[in-house]
Amino acid sequence: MSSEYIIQFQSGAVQRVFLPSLWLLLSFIFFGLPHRVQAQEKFEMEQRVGRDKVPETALSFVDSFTKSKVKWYEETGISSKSYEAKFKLNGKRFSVEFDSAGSLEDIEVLMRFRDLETNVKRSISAHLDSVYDRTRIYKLQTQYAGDVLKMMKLRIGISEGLNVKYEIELRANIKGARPELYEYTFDQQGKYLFHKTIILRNADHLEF
Amino acid sequence: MRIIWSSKSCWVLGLLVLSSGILRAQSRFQTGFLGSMNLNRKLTKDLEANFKWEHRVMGPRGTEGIVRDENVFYDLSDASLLVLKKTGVSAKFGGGYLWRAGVDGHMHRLIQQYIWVQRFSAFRLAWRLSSDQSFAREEEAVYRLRLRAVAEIPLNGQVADPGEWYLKLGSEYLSAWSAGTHQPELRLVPLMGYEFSDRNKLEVGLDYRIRNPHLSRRASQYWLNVNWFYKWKG
Repeated sequence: MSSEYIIQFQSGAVQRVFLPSLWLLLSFIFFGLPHRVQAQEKFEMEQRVGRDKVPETALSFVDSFTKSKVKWYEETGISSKSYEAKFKLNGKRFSVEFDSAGSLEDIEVLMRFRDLETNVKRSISAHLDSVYDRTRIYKLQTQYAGDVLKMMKLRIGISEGLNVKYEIELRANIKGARPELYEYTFDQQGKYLFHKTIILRNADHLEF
Repeated sequence: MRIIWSSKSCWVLGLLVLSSGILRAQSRFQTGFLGSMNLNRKLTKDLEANFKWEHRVMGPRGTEGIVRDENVFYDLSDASLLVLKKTGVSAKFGGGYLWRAGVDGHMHRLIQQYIWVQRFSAFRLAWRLSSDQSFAREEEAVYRLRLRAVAEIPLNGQVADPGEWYLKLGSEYLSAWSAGTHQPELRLVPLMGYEFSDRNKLEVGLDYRIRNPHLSRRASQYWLNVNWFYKWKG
């Protein structure tokens, strides 16, 4: 049931090492069991960048928007690139996204579910309750898009004339089934738009 | 590969300096090398297998900060197989078996563990609660309880992407019982990791262990730790 290996050191000393025939079991588990052929994996990278890497238009907007300390990130996809500015303003966490040319795409603000308007909360809860038995909301972001001048007014809390959506990250399950992580998007009235399943990154190096 | 120097990178340097500072007068100390290969494979939607092959090489050792023995020699190898079941979004429970072979003979170990991972905006934190029972011929059985916390801190951005470095900080407390005696142990493991891909990672750093930390005559171990993690597509 075991395999013997001989290790010889430079000094000439010899060491015997016995290892079990887990090789057989290992081979069966890792090579013998059938496994699906996966489709090409999605490629997306984000990295912190300095101001010198960010388009001037994007810098100009954020510098006018806030005097807070800003962290810039560059996100690269297979055929796309975008820039994101993250900062805190008036106690709220902002995330401002620009395309590769520096044109403003949207602004996201982190907030608590309980701070939503009552009718919006009710609408969102009603939809989730109709689909799942148990839900737990981890993160809620209000997403604003629209005219650049109107977006600038967000710094003083004015969102009139902007396209508003709510992006919610939650854990949910149907009774008897294991919980999954989802990202749901609702419109300004709390009406369901679409959702997707969140696939967590590999954490083997943390677990074992 | 390149390292983006940032405040996070300075932590690494600081930790390594601190770790070297710990190498002061201790009752007994041992150095060496620990290398491991971790292969992971998803068996079904909820089941996962982990195979780990680890080797230990003993290095210089001594007392009171003075090297008494400079010999370097192979000590032992561990081969373990664990099977875990997903019990929640980021939680797993399972167990397995470890086989140890070395200069002191063979040892068998049964392992049970529960793992859960927390996600934060700038890092991930994994917890592992485990118990194991070790048996060897002509030796008393050893029963252990372990609690480990490991954090992954990306050094560039909010997430460690392929081609990027990360810092992994681990802290573990072990309690061992054998023949009526209790022996606690504390482990501190600061590592630098490189992500070749989401399924392929390599880590290097220090694995510092101290037995009986509450006693004046402690035994400290300093291991150069190299770990490779690979996950099969499945």
